[in-house]
Amino acid sequence: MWKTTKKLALRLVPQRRAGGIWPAFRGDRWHVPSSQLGTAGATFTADRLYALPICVPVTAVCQALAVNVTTADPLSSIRLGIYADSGGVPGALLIDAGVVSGATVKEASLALTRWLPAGWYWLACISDDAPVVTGLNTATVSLLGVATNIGTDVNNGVYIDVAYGALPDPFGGPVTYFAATIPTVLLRATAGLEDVSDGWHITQNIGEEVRLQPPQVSGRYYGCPLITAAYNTRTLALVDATMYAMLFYVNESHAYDRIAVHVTTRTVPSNIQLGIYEDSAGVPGNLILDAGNVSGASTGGKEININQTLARGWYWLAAVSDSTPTLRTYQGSSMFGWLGATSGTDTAYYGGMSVAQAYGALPTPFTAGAVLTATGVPRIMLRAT
Amino acid sequence: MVMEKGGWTLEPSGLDATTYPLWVTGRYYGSNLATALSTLTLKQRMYATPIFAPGANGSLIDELGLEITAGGTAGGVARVGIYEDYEGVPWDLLLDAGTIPIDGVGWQHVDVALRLRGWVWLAVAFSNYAATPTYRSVSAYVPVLGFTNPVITTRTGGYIVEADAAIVDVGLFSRFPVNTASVVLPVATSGLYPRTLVRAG
Repeated sequence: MWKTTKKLALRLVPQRRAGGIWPAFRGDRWHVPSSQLGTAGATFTADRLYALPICVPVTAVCQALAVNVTTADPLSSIRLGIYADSGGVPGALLIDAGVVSGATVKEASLALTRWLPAGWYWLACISDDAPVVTGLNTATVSLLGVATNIGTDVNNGVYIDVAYGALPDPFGGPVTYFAATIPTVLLRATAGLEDVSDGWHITQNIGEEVRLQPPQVSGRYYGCPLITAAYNTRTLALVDATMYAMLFYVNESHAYDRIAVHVTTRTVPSNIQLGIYEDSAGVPGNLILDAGNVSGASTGGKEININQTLARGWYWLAAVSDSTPTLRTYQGSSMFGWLGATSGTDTAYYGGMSVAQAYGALPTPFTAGAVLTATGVPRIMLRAT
Repeated sequence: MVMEKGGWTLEPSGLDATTYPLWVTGRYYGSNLATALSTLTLKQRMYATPIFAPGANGSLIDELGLEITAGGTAGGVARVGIYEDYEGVPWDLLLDAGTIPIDGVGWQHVDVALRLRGWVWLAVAFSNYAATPTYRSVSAYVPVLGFTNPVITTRTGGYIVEADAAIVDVGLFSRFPVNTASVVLPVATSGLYPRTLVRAG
């Protein structure tokens, strides 16, 4: 936390070593929603207000919003803005930046000046017609969770249908989650606290208030947020008597009412024991919850009712089977390099850890000798309450 | 977030211990944001790529280096080091770790003893070799450094400087040359960059 002390000083010194979840924003770069990568053309649906989550890692001054019009639509207009986050969805309107033309192929930007304290926000856009702009596609990191325990879509953002015009305040709802290529707004902002010409001063930490993931939304299923969507659809036949563990993140103390896996190919008979482990310096530690078992003898989403509150931090979701059912899986480079490599020449990317363990009640602590696994770990999800 | 009118001073404290998974002793970590693996043979360049060292008190490292997949000029070296982060760019030199050989294949590294905390930038500089080595590289996956313009065609993964051979012989810049005229202006890289790694100690 930042300690705030009221003094007469008018100049604030920025933190040298950034602690935000991403490197600080820079005024010479255009920033996009934090989780997203590939680009493609995205056609506006008229009178649809889109919003994409973006993490401002370090308190910054917003300088501009932009879209890149790739196919013009005569007489079309695009309105841009920024919403505050409200429990994992867009909330209060912070900035209605104004309108750019969609009638010409060009990079269209709107200048603005606004502090944004570190945190999660939603970049918003709406058009009165159907121009095409550069969009970010579905291959995103799994920040927003999925709607069902068999969901493989990875949502880029949300939308509501509303008449084109001044941006509504608040955003409104219920929102619809959007998994296709979504029109993308870019933000140009520069970190730092030195410019206080308007007499306003930040009084809270510039890094610690930011979490890796926006708040989790009740009723949605969450796996590891560091997984890329391209690998959200892979499957793996479990090795019997092998216990698998995958990372799970809790951004704020939260209660969960389901633990779930997706059986894609059944094995008769088979069972899968599920549970939750503490993190112990980067590896699974003590058992928090042995949730019991689900059947792997039929396909579909399989889940167990739980009543488990987890404090903010990292956990490991675990599964062990008595046979070889095939489950939806996190695999390979889906994990980036967060789990590290075993040597300087190791080119594998690891999805989790595994260890030999007889099927049955889950042990505590996690069985010793677990190793990184590049062949995949079951995608285990928790449903947020 | 509270904003107040009037004069205020701020004092930063420790990092969030839960920002990213903790490092495990003996494992090797590189740029958090990349996945695709390849190789590069470029020379006379200095790269800096961001990496987040997790933990409330940071993370110890004991090795810094790079995998050479095809050796270059006999006796040739590359120089490795670490820069502090300053608002999203590499800034003051934290460690000039010295040189690693580039004439043999495998994990080439320097032993170090350092605690890193939060975002830092791993740097490696290559000289003007007669025979350029091939080294392990990666490409940016999530565009956390943003894009250089709204057309968003290429993802950025770090900074690159056209480096004079002297930087390898003499030492790394004490401050990374962002926006200086003494060297070719660094531009955000796109595509591949060296997979510089540290080992958690």
